[in-house]
Amino acid sequence: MVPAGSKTSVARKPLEGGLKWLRTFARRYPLSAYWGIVAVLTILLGILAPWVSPDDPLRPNVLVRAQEPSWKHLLGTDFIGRDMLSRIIHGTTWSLFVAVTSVLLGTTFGAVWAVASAFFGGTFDLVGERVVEVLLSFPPILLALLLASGLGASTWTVILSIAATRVAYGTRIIRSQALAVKELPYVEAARSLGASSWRIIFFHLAPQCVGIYLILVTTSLGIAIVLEATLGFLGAGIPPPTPTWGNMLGDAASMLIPKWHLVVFPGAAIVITVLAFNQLGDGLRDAFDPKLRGTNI
Amino acid sequence: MRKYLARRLMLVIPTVLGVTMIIFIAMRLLPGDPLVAIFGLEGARRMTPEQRANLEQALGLRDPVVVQYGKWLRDIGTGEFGKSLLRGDSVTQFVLRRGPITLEIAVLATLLSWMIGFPVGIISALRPNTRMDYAGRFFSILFVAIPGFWLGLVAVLTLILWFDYKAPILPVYPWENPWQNLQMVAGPAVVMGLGFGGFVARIVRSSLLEVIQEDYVRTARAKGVHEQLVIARHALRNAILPVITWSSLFLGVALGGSVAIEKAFGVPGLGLTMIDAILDRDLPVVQNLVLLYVVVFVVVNLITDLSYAWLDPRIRYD
Amino acid sequence: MKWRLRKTSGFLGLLVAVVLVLAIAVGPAAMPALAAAPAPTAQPGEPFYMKAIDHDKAKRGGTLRLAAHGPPSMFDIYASGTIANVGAQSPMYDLLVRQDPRDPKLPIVPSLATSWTISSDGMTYTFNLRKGVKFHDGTDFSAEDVKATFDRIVFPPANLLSLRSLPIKETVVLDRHTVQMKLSEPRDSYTFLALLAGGWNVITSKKALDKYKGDLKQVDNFPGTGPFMYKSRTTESWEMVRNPNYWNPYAPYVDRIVHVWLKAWTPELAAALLGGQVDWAMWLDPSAYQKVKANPNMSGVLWLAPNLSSWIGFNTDRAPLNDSRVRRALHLALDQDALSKITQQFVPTAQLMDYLPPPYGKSYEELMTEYPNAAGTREKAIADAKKLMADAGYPNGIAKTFNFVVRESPQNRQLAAYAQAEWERLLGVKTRLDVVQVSAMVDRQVAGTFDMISHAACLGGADLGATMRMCYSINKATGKKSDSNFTNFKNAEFDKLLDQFSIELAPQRKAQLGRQLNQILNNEMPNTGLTTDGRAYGWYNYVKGLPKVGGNSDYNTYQWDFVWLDK
Repeated sequence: MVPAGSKTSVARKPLEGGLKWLRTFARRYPLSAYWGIVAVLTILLGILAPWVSPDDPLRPNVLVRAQEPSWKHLLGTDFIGRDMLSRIIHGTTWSLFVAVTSVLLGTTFGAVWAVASAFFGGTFDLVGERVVEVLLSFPPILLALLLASGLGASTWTVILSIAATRVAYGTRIIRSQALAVKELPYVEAARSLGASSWRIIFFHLAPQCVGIYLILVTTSLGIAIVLEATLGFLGAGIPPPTPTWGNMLGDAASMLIPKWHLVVFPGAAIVITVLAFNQLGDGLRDAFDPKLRGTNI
Repeated sequence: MRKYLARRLMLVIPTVLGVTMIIFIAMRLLPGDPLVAIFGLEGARRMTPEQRANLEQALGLRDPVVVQYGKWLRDIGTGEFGKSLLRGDSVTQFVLRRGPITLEIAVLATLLSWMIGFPVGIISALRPNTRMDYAGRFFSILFVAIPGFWLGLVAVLTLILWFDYKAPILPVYPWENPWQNLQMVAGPAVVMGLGFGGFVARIVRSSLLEVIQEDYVRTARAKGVHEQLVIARHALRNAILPVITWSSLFLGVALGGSVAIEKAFGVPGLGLTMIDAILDRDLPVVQNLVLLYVVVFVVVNLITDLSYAWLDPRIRYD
Repeated sequence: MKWRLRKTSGFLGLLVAVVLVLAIAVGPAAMPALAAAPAPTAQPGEPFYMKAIDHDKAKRGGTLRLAAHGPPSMFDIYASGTIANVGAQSPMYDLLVRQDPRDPKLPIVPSLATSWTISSDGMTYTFNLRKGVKFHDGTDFSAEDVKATFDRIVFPPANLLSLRSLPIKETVVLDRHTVQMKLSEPRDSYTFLALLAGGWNVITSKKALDKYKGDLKQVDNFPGTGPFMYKSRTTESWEMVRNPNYWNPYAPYVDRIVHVWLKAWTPELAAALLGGQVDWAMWLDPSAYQKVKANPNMSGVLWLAPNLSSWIGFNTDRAPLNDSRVRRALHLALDQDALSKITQQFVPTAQLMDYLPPPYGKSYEELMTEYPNAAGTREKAIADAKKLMADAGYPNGIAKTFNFVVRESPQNRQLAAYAQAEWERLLGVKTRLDVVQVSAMVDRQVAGTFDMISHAACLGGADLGATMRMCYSINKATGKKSDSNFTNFKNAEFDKLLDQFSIELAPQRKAQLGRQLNQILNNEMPNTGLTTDGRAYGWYNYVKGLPKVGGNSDYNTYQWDFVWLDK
């Protein structure tokens, strides 16, 4: 959330040239690049899960219920004897899928709305501002919890609930960015030449916001992963038997003395993934516009 | 300033109204039979259709949706916050008994976050790219990434396994028994304080670094003013603004996000009440508690914006 | 010596005279069926009073802190089916008759009724009531109050609920201290008296029932005659104090009771007990119960509830689940003992059981030695399951994806996931898990929008016939299936035998009928994952008077009048 009334500058155009850019990035922000690799590896793990995972994450084996790590099950087993390592690996797929989808959905919807709001102005803008404020008044977990419980437990309702919390996040920044760009001379020129509204939006306003959009997405990913985990922990997440990290923690917490391996490993997975995406996001933000650093988007 | 104040206050009203609409819609979406909450599964099943109709009528559940919404708004206006379907206690009682605990945790967490964040951030900024800086930065990013409820679970696990710790179950207020109260709130407050502290450290560090390169600080240094004073008077003042902004966000997040942390620690706060109410479909409790949380959040934001405007004159005239 | 003999012979003579007079006055029609009502434990000549087992050593005073599942959502105990009401409210009231909580066999003992006679056809019960009893608000207790209470229970007003099913046709006031109940159909006497002794049938005053028109939902302190009186209630607890004018001169022993609300099977409950913040706790989770048993300063007991419980029910109306071969195959495909072992990680459901308890069904030991439940015969069970599926026409699995409604709880989640995986792997039967909160379960159950549903249980009581009727038969009043008949089970032979079973008075014939009923259920297999319903209790050893062998529970009445604190 950005305090009402603060100013932002126009973002510099992102550096051109893919590989050259990557190398420059790695040199200037080594920590971020390192974690960026971790993030990429996590994504790969999520995609390659069915091939990498040693066991079927859904296959129960009642003879080895809730066992601590052993050679046969490197991270132990859960309450019905499913292999935790496989579940955590597949959990990567699910958690990332939910996080990426919900963030893309929410942020894109919010960004489009913000740009349109800036462009069309008037009542549309005014009403839009109020709705954004209403959405931002909800602590994210409450909003997600209300919606997830209300719509019933399923993968898509969880995605929609998390997306809803991302819509208002950053719209203010994109809106002020778009507003600033709207006033630029070359946009004025395009308009006087008779360019249609859509053309102006797509070719002039939007590209200037891409940088911010990317930053918003990467920094939101961590939050989305934690939101999904929290929903699962509270019992409002994706229904069983889907292996998500939040579900695993929720199951673990239902005993007085939780089994340590059921708590530590899913949690560590969350921490590493969130850390990776946060660091990547930080680096990207520094690369695109250091002036945004203090505002902590 | 007065105009700004007036304008901000006026904007609060439509915001809160909008919030009530969202809460109301979400509640009506919730599938689930409130009569189960009152009578249990057996009771609700055994009802004849006439009994069910009568009971729903008595609860006002058969009125048209708009009428129910209106009644709710009217009840709030008159201070009638409803009774829990599940527990036979009024929402006001809940808030009075458990609210202080949650509030205490939120305030302690925010204070802790300053106590941790400021020193770490200042040291990082004053000694950039040293080992201390790296340690500080690692700490901040780590605790920002750790989900609070997980840290809570790990903490509880450790405490149970190694120290045989048992959390108090009844709310104990600081003026009743400070030691027991501390035992109850310490866990959640520390966990949240660490998380927020990471944020605060980052903000402080980046704000300070920004300012340290600014002209007026350089000028002050050139004039030979003692370095500490330079920092204190110019740089920190700049850092305080974003920290205040974010702290208000933290307070709101603490109130709302403490839901999961309270569950992890088993603390008898409002968050736990809310979670149970949402899952049990205890409509009156959910509606009014969520509204309460949001209103508190809005008020806190309002105060923050106002203090921001007061501290930074440039903003007032936007 | 001579003086004593004379006194004794005089007393005996008096006794004979009284009996003769009674016999003549009352007539053969009202000859008591003495064998059916076990004699209450009392000194000859003295009316029965509940006392602690070691009454002579008992100390008085102190506060008993109890962890209770709650709080209750409303206070109309007659409309309640939950432990939250009967557990917390019982101490303020008395029942007409009671099951002796000190004896695991739970014999019927007097409470507000000091003695009773039963007609030879078993259809009329006449109760003599205790004299000089007062309600907490000062009103005198009389037969009118008993009648008003049971009228509320058996014939609730149109807009009110009553969850009890007592086979009472009419309650009649004979005089101020005598009340008579006429049954609507025969019941063996222990069953009927045990039904009356159910913890929810607390006696309240006619005055109160008239005042509130029977609607006690908001009345947390409607008057009772019980050993404890209402003191105060908060969002966290409910406090009661000793009734100084209680009609029992020996009880209660403690001065105060505090019920603290702690939800069953939660870590918070266990932490409260093990941390010494409460003295006694109900419904502990298995690991907490183990800790209690291992602690030399604590005692625990596991009680098996008389519920008909199964983890999974099939909707027998929906094809292909209407074919009993498919149902039996799905049943065989799951390791039944494993189902219990999985859930035992969360809830101490004691173990795998048959549909009906012994002597009508098989015990756990018998089941474990027989195919198909013993782990050693898994291969054969799976092979038989596959054969049954092939016979029914589905050798390669079923194309449809079944809708499996799962009631939200930790054990149900695990169990459903297990069943889903095994059914798909072994039989090619695919299911989709639909996790639902309790509040949304009623809609699903009533509408029948499921193929499988989790945790179907019929809350039982003293009357097994009534329980079976609720679970597997039709509601005689409406003609439609019973409220708890989730599986839509319909079997004419079962219904006919059930009617006979309910009214059968002779134990041997009843056992035979019961076994036949059990066999029908096993042939049809409308459920799988049959289980007993275990409840674990724990307390500190300074709480004296509680039996260590399971028998009583909080559904019968825990009035706490037989318990004292050695502190």
